[in-house]
Amino acid sequence: MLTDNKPGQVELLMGNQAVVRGALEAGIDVAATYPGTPASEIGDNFAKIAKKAGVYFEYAINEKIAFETALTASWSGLRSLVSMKHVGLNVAADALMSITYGGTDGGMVLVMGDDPSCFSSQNEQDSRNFARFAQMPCMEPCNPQETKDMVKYAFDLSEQFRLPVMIRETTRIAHGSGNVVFGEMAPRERKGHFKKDKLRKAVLPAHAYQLHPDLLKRIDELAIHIESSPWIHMDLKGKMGIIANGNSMNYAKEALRFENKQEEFSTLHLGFTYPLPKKQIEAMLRHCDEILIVEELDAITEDFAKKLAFDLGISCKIYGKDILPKTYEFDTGIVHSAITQAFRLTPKEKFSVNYTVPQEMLPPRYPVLCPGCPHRATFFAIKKAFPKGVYTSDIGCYTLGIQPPLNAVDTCVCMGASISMGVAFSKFLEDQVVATIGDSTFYHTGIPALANASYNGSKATVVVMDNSITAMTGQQPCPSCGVSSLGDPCNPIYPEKVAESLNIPFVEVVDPLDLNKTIEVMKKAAKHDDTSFIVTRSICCMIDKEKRPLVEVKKDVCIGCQICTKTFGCPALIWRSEEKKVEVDTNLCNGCSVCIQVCPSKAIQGKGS
Amino acid sequence: MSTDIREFSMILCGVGGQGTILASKILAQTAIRKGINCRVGETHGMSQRGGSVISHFRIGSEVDGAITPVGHGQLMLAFEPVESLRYINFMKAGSNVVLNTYPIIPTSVNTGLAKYPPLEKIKETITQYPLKVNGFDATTIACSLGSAIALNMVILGATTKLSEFPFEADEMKKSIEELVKPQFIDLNIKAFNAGFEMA
Repeated sequence: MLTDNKPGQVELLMGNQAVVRGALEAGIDVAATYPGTPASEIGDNFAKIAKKAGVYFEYAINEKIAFETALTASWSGLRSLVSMKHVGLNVAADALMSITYGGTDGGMVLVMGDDPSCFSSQNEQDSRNFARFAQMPCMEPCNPQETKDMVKYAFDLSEQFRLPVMIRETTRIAHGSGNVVFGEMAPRERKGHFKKDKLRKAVLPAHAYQLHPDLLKRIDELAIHIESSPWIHMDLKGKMGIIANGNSMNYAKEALRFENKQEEFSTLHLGFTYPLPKKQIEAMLRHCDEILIVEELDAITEDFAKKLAFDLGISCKIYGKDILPKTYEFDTGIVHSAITQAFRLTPKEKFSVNYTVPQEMLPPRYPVLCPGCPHRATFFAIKKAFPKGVYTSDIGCYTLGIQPPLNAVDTCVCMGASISMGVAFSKFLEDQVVATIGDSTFYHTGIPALANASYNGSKATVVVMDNSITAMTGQQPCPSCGVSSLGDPCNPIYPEKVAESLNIPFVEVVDPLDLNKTIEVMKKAAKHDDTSFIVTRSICCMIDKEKRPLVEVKKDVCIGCQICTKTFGCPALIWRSEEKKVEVDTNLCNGCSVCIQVCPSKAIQGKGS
Repeated sequence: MSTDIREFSMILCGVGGQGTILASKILAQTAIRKGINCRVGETHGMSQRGGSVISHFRIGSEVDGAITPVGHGQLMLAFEPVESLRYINFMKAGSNVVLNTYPIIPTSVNTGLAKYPPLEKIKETITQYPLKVNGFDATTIACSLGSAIALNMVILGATTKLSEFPFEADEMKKSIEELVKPQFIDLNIKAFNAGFEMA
């Protein structure tokens, strides 16, 4: 469907699919990514259509490599797109920060998935800061249609100003779906061609020194160019004004509509948030007596507008983060309340409810490892072998080992930090230290940390929980799975081979579903006083759908000790408090049979055995 | 209802893996085929791992954002009993809740850190809000047809019977056929019909 060349066709697209469609309409040649919520579906959809559309696509090992792959495509004269979650740009920033100086050749688009409210992320960093930091344009769509159209436009803009263009999505844009009218697909006839230009393409100190003024000049020109672009919508009406970027304008429009005040307010909708359109912001400041600036997270537009008002000596009152929160995503109610507060309106519509559900009616339901997840068995074994350990962990499904009853994660900072911090803790503490990391994360940034452990010494136990997939973000292939980015068979890269080649003295591989064996290997590692490296390998239970015999609890044997529910905690094991027995929810059980090994009274057995 | 809807917002909530995303996709596909402006807001990623999930489905000429304004939801599809309470504040008083009465016990309850409230108490709390409860065991119906996974279709079927629901059964079934993998269409249509007939 994404590759249909049927201009005018209307389809339901998620923001992330709209990115792919926009890129296809721009005639994209190369796409690369490392999966990360909320940007993952961009790569997933490229993976699906790449062969058919003739696009080169790869799941790179990390965001830096994805970025450099896209940059290389650009320097080969091709059009490229690289996508990642907001924190991914921290990894790719090393390349980004230097290449805006010399600039790009073929159109290059960087799609960021920001995550206000931290639905699936370790922080709320606002990528607009990176656009300003690196000096590159930043565009923000407000719905799937605009997302598609902006991505298409961004390729031309990139070529015109020789800069990568950032498209900043937030979770609501990336994962919001809606109607999209297709445009025409561009033909793709480009062949890679490298134009040598050492000044621009080798970032030596002397070159950077010479190029920096040129970059600033391009940004100045860009700032004027965007003022007449189709992505700045100004509507001068009454003396009260609202300036909002991307999705925030949706909430502002709805709030005004609920109050029937659309005709009394002037509005400025920003599709560009770096650079900002000076001309229109000045016009708003001169036209309005008071302006509310609506932007999620950082006060970027507000700071710009306040500075501009100061420079021009305009007395327009500007509201922003004095009324609206600096944290979390907005909604119509939040923006409505800010508007009524700022402009001292008596609200007609209510966005709060005078009803509180009693706390005892809401048992917490945090995300947990799936029933049958091999990680649960690994964590259980770690807790048996290292009952008093310090547990460093990493970013992935296995971060959920932090939840009770496993409580097997003490730290989680960023990709790869489980190993570097576990290794360092093992030198600074007397405690035993266990680092847990997934296979995809191990390849992402874990390997340099393991090399460091080997070189600088360590006493930590590193456990690679190898489920042979990038699981949390939607089961994307990675080097350990034996399948290429496009789904073709390839040779898997085994973490244990990497460890051996890095001279790690203790390397073992074990199937975590064999619980006793896993505990035994862990205990062996615990006695080892150098770095120990264990791979617990069992395929992700969302991939391995093989029907296994389910388990059942023999009620007459179950003594109600709750060891299974209170230390292992598979969601398929249900504690029946009225009869003081455990029961298996057969809708959830996937037959991994690890609980059979956990039960001390042999009450849990294979079904029908 | 036809294409002149101004704003109609639905909340679909439940537990990760229960199929709220497919259900909201089927709703959106139906809206788009009818030429109605629509927005869907979903939860992906970490919360899908057995956590609490919510989808917003919004249609109409006056809909811009993908999230239902608090207190403005006109219909709730609760795939799991306590999850209806977690998102109740999105609802407009007096609206309908289609409630699957089959509970999924959270780990916090199994490990003894919290208690799962009795179903009657949950229904009572919903009624006090006040909302109207249309409760039935969609999971058991889906299981009897072959798979618990089809509970989302049972719920959609029951929902289609409600007078405020904007689409016809035939329109919904067409979307199911368009979006569900061919080998599962039969089961899903059967589940949809079972929900529709029962309501």
